[in-house]
Amino acid sequence: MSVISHTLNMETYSEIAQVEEFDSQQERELILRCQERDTAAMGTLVVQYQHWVYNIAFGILGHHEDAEDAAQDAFLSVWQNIDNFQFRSRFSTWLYRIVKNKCLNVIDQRKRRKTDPMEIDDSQPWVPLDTVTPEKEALRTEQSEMLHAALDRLKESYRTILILRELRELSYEEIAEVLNCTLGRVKSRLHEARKALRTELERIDW
Amino acid sequence: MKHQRIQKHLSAYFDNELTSVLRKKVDEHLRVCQECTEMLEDFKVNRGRIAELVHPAPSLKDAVLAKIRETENAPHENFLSTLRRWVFRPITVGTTAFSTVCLVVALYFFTNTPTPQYDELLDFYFEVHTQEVANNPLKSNVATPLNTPATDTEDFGEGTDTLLDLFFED
Ligand SMILES: [Zn+2]
Repeated sequence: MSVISHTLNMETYSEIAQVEEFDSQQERELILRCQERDTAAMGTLVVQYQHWVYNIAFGILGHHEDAEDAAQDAFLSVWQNIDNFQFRSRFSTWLYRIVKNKCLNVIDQRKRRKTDPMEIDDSQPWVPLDTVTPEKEALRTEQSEMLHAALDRLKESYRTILILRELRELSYEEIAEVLNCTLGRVKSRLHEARKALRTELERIDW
Repeated sequence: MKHQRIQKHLSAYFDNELTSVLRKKVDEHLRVCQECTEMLEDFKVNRGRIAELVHPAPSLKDAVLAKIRETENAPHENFLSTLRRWVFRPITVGTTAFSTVCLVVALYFFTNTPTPQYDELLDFYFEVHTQEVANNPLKSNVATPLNTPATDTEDFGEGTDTLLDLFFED
């Protein structure tokens, strides 16, 4: 009996090791515990990843409350879909893909809110430079405000890839996993995004 | 042309994602191209700027675990409330009311239509048909015969005779 269970464990271990060599042993155990509906393990995963999940969301959305909501929703989604994670990719890239999708949802909601005249849009995140209120100015440094304004004028796909590369420092392979595209696509899109940001920042007198 | 081709690889060069052969080519080009050198410099500066956007994240653990409990504890309530919300939507209520009215009206006419009405309708049809037949000599097999009136025949005959007479005179 003990021999059988030992062999089984070894098989499971080698199978996981074969397909997933990126995540640490500790992280894998946390994920397996989450798959067994262990909320304490989920809490540990949240603590481990909240910094980057929040900052990626903030980089894409440019709004603290929206970023916090998107981050919470992303973790909830992780919990609800953790059984679908089969260790075929890095957990981090799987998680960041969920974060990116949650951010896209927020952007869609904003667009819908904007077209509804009955709705007062008080969550407009990327405030144009000439309408920055004193309170908001105090919250951000002038430079990051300018950068946010420039990022805002970019396409969402450009903003996302710049955040993943320059802020989170993901490799091209990891970005391809998050965006579900080819390495060639990552390479060309990143180049276009950098050129577009450069053009936007050249308009601003630093 | 070469400048454009090389510039496309500048971003990957900056990220150290190029093969050694391509990397060497970009290196050579950078020695002679001011525009590409400036672009590369700007990429570097902008990376630093974006990296500075990192903020201290709020603690999300409690909020996430609360959301998990919320969804785990009340799945049935959630389903019921969704169902209730759907049932009481204005469009659902409106459609249901309209369909009910239509059904009631249809049932009323169906049950109150007297059967003899069919006979009356048939009678009416026959009457119309008979009249039409009577008024149309082509369809009629009773009234006026299809033959041309006798007078016409006489006239025709007379005319023919006159013509024949004229013919035989010659
Ligand atoms: Zn050049």
